[in-house]
Amino acid sequence: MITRRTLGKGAAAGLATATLAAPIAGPAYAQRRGGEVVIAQQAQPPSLDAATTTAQASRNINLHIYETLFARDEAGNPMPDLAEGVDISADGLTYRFGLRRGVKFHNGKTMTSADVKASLERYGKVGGSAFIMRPVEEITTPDANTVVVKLKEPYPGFIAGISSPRAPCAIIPEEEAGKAANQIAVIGTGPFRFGEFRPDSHVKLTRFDDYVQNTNFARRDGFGGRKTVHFDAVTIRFMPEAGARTAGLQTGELHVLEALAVPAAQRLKDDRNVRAYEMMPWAFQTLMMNHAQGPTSNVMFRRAVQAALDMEEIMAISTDGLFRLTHGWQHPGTAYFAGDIGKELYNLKDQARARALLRESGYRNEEVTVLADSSFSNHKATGEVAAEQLKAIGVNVKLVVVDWPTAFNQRTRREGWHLWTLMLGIEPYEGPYGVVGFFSGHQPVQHERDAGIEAAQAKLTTSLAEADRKAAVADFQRRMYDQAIAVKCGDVGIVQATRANVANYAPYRIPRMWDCWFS
Amino acid sequence: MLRYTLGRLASAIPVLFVVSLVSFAIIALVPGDMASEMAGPSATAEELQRLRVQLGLDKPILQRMLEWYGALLRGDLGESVLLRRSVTEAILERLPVTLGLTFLALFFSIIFGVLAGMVAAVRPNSWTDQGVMALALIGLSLPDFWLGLVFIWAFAVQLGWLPTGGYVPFGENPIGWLRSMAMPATALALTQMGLLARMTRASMLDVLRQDYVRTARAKGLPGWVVVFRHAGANVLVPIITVAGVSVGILLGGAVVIEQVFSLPGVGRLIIGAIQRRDYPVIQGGLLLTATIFVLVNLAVDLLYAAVDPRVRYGK
Amino acid sequence: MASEAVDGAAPRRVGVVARALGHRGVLIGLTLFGAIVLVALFADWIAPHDPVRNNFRYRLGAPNAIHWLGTDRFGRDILSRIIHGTRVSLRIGLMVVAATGIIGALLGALAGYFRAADGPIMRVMDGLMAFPGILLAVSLAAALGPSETNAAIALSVAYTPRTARIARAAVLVVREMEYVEAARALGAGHLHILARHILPNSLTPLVVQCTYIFALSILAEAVLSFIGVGPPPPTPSLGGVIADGRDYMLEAPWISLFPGLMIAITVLGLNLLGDGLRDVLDPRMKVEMR
Repeated sequence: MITRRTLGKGAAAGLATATLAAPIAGPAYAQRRGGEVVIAQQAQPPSLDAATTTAQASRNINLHIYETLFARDEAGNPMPDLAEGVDISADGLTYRFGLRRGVKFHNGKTMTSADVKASLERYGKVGGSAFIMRPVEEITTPDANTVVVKLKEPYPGFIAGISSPRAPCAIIPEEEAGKAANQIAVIGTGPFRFGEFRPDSHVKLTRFDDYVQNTNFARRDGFGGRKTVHFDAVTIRFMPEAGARTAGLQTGELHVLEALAVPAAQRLKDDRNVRAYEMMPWAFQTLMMNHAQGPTSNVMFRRAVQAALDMEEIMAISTDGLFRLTHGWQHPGTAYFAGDIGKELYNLKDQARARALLRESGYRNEEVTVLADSSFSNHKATGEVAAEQLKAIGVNVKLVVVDWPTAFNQRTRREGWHLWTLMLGIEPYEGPYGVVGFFSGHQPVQHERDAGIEAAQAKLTTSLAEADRKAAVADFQRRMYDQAIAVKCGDVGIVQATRANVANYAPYRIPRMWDCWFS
Repeated sequence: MLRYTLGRLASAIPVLFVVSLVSFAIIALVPGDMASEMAGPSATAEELQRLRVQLGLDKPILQRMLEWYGALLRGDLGESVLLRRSVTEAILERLPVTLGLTFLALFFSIIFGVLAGMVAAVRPNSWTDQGVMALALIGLSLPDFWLGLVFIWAFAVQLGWLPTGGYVPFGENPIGWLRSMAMPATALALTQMGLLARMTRASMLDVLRQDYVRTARAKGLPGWVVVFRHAGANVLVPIITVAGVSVGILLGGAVVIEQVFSLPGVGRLIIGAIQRRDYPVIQGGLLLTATIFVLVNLAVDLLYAAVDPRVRYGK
Repeated sequence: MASEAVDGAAPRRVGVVARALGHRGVLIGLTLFGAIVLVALFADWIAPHDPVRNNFRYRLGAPNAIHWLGTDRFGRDILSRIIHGTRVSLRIGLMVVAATGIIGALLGALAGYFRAADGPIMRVMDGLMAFPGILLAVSLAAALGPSETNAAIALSVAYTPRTARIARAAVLVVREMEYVEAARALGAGHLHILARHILPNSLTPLVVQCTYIFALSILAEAVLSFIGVGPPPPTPSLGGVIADGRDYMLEAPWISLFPGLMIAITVLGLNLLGDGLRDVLDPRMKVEMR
């Protein structure tokens, strides 16, 4: 009981003194202040109730409005945001959060521990990643600025979970937390407040003038840190046509693009009015396989698929040329990256070996359905290319391209599909829990639980020692390749872009509209 | 007249009932539901199921149908959870966009179509006539959404004259509205322009063969004067007929054009609702579109009676 | 366009085929459409490349000596895709014409001939016509799932009311003709009268309408593909090729540009043919139904 781990507090205290000398209302600030910035994104947000959705279109907007107890820093590691920090007991069962004082909601109310408790409890019911609240036994509020979370069993992924932007565990006022999914009034503590939502047109946000900055930090850092808003308002427009978005950036109608098409970025390389920011890696491109139905239930057949695929062709076409051929189920350079495990089985493009494996599997020309959706163009392209490659080794492929809800609905069933294309963006960024979780638990994506993966997942989610958890992720990756559970095609990159007069912009998981301004 | 109008309105009720059945059939057939849109691309099967129960999507379709008809009798088209507003509100805020686009396109096609038809008819079988009519025929053979893409490429990007998409409300900035509508309305109008040009030419030729026009010509009046003074009015009736049909076609074409130009109109609302499986919006949207269709057809018939003294309704 | 061609009133005795072939519009239309049909029939021989063959080293390539119309994001040859695409588009058009022609004629004949059937049938037709046709087709295609047949089914449902109305109107006229009265007086059954006397004499407007429906279907297939509910990849349809290029309109406009022109040529041919047939077969018909 002597060893206590403290996250955040020490570092925060050190920084606080350093930042006292840096007042925000200097002359430079006054000069930069003002202006309405226009962002364009492809899709419209399915929800402005941050907790309920994992959609990027919502995240781009919601993380300007809402904040979380812990956020992620620039490198993707958890950092305190609405919390001052957390004390975790040595047995890993008690999390004691001290809250930042005087934080204001957009409705003028001051945030207290009651709001936090209600928000966390709501997350367990409606949250997109609600499973992170499953180990929670009870949440108590000893005083207005302290929240204590008691767990039933150790769960080292808890802080990673509540700090994740996947479906953010946003802190909202207690009186909103009683409402069902998507029924809340859009009220958070973030630097922007919700203005209006015009479906198929735009969302408008305005600067929250009573925003309480996190003075524990000196500058913006990932989704947290000290956020300073210069713009008066942000308009996020929904524009389905890529060409129209690019043209809008060229003509100056739009200032920021969530993603600029790669060919367009190449064309605009020399355009002095446009700045492009490449983000690599942004996501995994994957091919999931259904183990509940033959022939993909047969590991030999899955290995044949693994051996046949030419990842360079798949990635070059599906990403328009912005990709990286990496085998890892975590990003290189992050804490849980498992090194070269499985690399010898990645991107073999060995047709002879694939055919031999196919024979060995006893494949008798059964129809194999490759499921893709037309709503995400890289999903569709991946499916088309993979289908052609599998045809080339003699698989009787049926390519099914439908819209997103149909594809998604199909893949949740045990029959009717064999391979399914999916880009995983936020999960690898989150760390190992989401990625491993995708293939384990009650309803793994492959529909049949794999003992090796389950064991790795159990070790990952309960081990208090980081070394054990890293070993678990290595086990996971080994199993993924050895059993050809699913196929990682490669890493996808994207290009964010702004007009040249958007100063101090830094690309990130969302286009952050704080700490940048019109020059 | 009033009786005729009321009769027509009453006969619309069974039509609209069929429409509502069709929209339920579509919903019953289409796989997947709103939860998969809301949960986002990487949601797990478990997350999906939880949302589904919360949104009440696990109710059987018959129950939803009865509830919907019940609410409809109270004038309530339901709520869209995804759009955060009532279906009525969602449609009403889109209507000005679609109607603006449709009627601007109609305006363009009448002005240019009728003009082209008249020019062609003044000297039948001349080079001008054949040229204009060939253009008209080509115009009505082009896919309108494709033309929209070409326009964006040419006028917005290469020349930089017009915005690439998006909507500026008329009340906010009339010039901006016209700029945002110019390309979509033209792309949409081209087909109907061709149609109206052909129609105008045909009826002009009919009229010009009539005796009184021949007399006027024989008196030595110049061709243009004859065309405008004598033929103009008599050509109006068939043009209104065609224009009436055109409104319907333009409303349909607007569905795709709104996609191409990112216009937040009713067509994009309904297509989006189908893609997102937003059931109340699909039902309400289709019902309302059909109602507008019926009303437009009625209006055309009434206008027809007003212009042509030979047509009398409902004695 | 071509009404003056019959102004000279061709002698009645000359056969319909001869008259049609003497009509300039029919001739041009037939040539254009015939050429497209030939392209579709012999696509395998004409196309310079395999339309589904990827080449990731030559993505979004501009037109050149090897790829006359350039390549798409997969590095596939656009010209070959267009040539094969006409096949899919024509197949869909043909299916729609067959379905709307037969079902529409039957429904229309029933409604026109049997007074009891008239109300219910025509109310359903009115209901289907009460949306913009394309909206109905898109909704149905989305509901049925993307496939060539489903696209054809969706378009057939949307366009059948047109043929049904025309057939009904024609039947209403023919029904009162003397020879039908005579047949009835001779004790001929309903079926016999419908099949032997009424349908053959209502065919003319139907044939003309079907030409237009063919043209409409080709345009509408492109819309379905553009919205994402058309025939699935990799088999190209003309609309599908346009849709493939929509994201690359600024960098590789050739992808969408050329298939659009191909559609325009096909539709132009069909429209000319329809106008010409209308002139030749029945000069009194005036209002075009589009």
